[in-house]
Amino acid sequence: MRRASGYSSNMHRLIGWLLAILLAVPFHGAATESITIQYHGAGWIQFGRIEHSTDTVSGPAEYNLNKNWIQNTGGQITAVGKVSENWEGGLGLGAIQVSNPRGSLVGAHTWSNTWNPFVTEARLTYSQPIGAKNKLQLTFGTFPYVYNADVKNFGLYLTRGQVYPGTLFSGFETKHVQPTAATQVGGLARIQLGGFQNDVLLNSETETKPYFDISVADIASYQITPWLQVGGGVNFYRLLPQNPDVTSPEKNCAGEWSENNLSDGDEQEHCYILDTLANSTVDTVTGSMSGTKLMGRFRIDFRTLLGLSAPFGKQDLIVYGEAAIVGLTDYPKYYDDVWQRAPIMVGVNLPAFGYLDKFCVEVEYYGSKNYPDYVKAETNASWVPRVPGSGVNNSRNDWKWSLYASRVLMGHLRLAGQVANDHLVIPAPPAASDPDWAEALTTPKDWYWMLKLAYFF
Amino acid sequence: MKPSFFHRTRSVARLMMFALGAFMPATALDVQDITFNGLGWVQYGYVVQSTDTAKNNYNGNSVQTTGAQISLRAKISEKFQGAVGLGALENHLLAGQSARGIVPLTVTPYIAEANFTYSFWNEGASLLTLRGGLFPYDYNPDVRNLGLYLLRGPVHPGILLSGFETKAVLPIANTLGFQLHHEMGNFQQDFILNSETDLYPFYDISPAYVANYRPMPALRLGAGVNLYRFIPIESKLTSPEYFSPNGRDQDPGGTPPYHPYRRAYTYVDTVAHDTTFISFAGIKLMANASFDPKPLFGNPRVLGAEDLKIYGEVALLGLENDKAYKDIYGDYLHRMPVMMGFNIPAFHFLDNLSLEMEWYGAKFRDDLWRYQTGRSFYPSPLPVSNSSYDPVSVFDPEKNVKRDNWKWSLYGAKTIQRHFKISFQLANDHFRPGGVVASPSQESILSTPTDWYWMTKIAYFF
Repeated sequence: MRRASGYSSNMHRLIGWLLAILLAVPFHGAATESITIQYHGAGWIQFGRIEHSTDTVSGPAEYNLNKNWIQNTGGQITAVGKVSENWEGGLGLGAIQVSNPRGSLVGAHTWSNTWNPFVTEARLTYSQPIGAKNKLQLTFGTFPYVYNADVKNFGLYLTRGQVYPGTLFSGFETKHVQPTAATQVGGLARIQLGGFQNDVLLNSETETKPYFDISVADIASYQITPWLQVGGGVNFYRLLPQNPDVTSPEKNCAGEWSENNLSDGDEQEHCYILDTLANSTVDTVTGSMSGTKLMGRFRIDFRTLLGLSAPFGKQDLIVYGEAAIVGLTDYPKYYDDVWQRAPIMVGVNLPAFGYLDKFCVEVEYYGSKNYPDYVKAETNASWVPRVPGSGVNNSRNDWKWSLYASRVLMGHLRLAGQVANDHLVIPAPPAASDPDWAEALTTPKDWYWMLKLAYFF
Repeated sequence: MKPSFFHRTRSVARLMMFALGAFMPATALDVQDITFNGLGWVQYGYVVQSTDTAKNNYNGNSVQTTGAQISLRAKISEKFQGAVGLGALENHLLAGQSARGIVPLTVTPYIAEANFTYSFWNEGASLLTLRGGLFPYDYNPDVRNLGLYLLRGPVHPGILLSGFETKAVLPIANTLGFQLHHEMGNFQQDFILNSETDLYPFYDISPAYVANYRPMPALRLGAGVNLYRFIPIESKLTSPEYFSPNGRDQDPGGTPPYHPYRRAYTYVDTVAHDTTFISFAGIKLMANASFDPKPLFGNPRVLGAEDLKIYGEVALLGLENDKAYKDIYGDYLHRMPVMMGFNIPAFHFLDNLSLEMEWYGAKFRDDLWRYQTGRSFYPSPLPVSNSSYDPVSVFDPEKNVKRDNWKWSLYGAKTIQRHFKISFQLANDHFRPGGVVASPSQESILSTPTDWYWMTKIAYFF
């Protein structure tokens, strides 16, 4: 990639100055002319449809997501500056045009779309080689982080989703599985010793309420043989709360409680559990949104193991899996069985023979019996799950599946598609009276599809 | 209970989390060339006269916007190019006649462009390219304000869009989809697939075809057809075939006999007792021409490149012509906007000085209010009535249907030192500033021959 010339070099110099400012503390004397900058750009259009969404039919008409079209488009620019042999900085901006779902035809008149900006990354990275093959790397700022590059939908339990309630995030090419936009705010210390890699991650929570709690995680992986990789990790989620009274509220939350969208639930359980004991007395159980996650994973490359070459593609015949325990602490009534807090997923890269870069099927089991609606956490920072008054069969959504395919054409044009029944959460349509954080796909017959056309350089 | 702003913001954040996909390669790619383009501007104007707007009084209102954008273009190979541009616009609604004239500013991000172009071949006078993504497209580059009927604005009703240096005439993305472009000698043709993102119902796909032929250097002829919303995302919204569930079509309210304009989708012939469902979809036809006489007398140097050009465009907005459509939208003549432009000789003092005139005999009010979405609105392909601001009030054909048939615009621009541009416009066009804070609106604020405004802009670009 070459440096721009003419007026472009002015822009180059400007970005160099910005990077220099970003790196001002360690490099107050660095000349911007010495910075080597690479520019990356991307744009995309993505669209699809929710073909079936069972539970949204039984709710208010405005929430009906069946046959809803989902579309967004956007673009982003990122500049990565190599300041010296050891230091590198990156910054990038993007904008995306998104819309809420239209909901039912009844509420379609409230439909609209908006432009939103975002930061792709704003980071500073220090790399120090240790010998010929080993490396120490420190990253600070806002940056993308993916510890399991094989997953395309499920998994990554350690670094996405809450502990109490046990939220799982997934979807079509979310930023968590594709390192496009920043997912972490904080720091990363990585050491690589041969086939062993260990990451210590410090993350300030900015995706789910309450914000700015700090989580500390350690994630390791080891390439045992060229065909076998294993990994594991622990995340002390919200270990350092910004406000302990919010993250671990005891019983003192009633005055701050919002009744949004909870009229059909057990409203008494604002931020504590009311557990009826055998003698009919009611025990008040207090808890916290903080908790500990454990994760283990594996990756087997059968193509390498069996010595297969063409016509198989590089990604073909890889089997990968991940399991986690989302919260080590038992609480009565909703979190009393650790195995119901243990999601597990397995993925297989099907043979695509070079016609596709990635063609995988992923299956997940998660036996949580709590209703997959996180409105209480998102609107009131409550660690207690929502309990719909009408009652639902929460075993219906234990199994999830996803079929994903992608292909890069001419090195810079990318096509991707997915058919899935996953943890897709779509905001409430504008016509709805309350915000909604319920998963859209709650029974085995629910599914959606998405397609994406993107280019990048 | 109405969701709080916070909840809505969180919803958007969640959508973004869902939407952001990855294209950023971990390693540097072999990009042959990267160039930057930037643009920044300040724009100021004044509504001198606005006679007959329904909701607000805009007389004497100032209009000011400022913005900036930056684009990055990469020539990835001889055949493949990519472009990404980001921008932000600071804008405001008008003050109306508020005693203190206080209006809040809003800053909106946008994508200036995000597209790739693949060249199948480019040999001599023959060219075939495919462009995809968000890109600017302007089939009639002579137009400065009025015209471009084929690809901007709805069919039902045939509302026209124009204004001062809108995105339709600037190199800012106005099309989301694909453009297959073919050139062969003096002939050019484009096949466009556009996903609708400006007007309800969103995301419908409109295929369009535009051709241009230059039989001689002085003359360009063009024509096109737009099958507007012919690939609907939800046909029940775009072309309903039953009474809408919100009840407005079954029980339009008021005192019987209900007037058709009180409804959302249906036209009721009370004589023949016939009900017609009106669609947002329709067909547009367009023809345009441009004549530059300068080559005929040797391109005298005293004249600028744009001087003396005469150009024009005519369109037919909607081919449906049964009784219901005739009653609502008028006959073909009243669905045919026509514009003419003339570049007054500026002798290099200006890059161009364009006078444009337009006639459009639509019998309905120049108001896009019925495309407004929201809890209290029921978007409709029926036009806004002429009697008051209420879109469902009784139709009054005598008021305000002919006074805005003629539009005019005088536009001038000068580029200084190749990177500064000063431009201005005086016009009576289809300017829609969006209403005032307390009363947003989609109406054109210029509805009689005495109405006009002026705008100026200074821009820096590279």
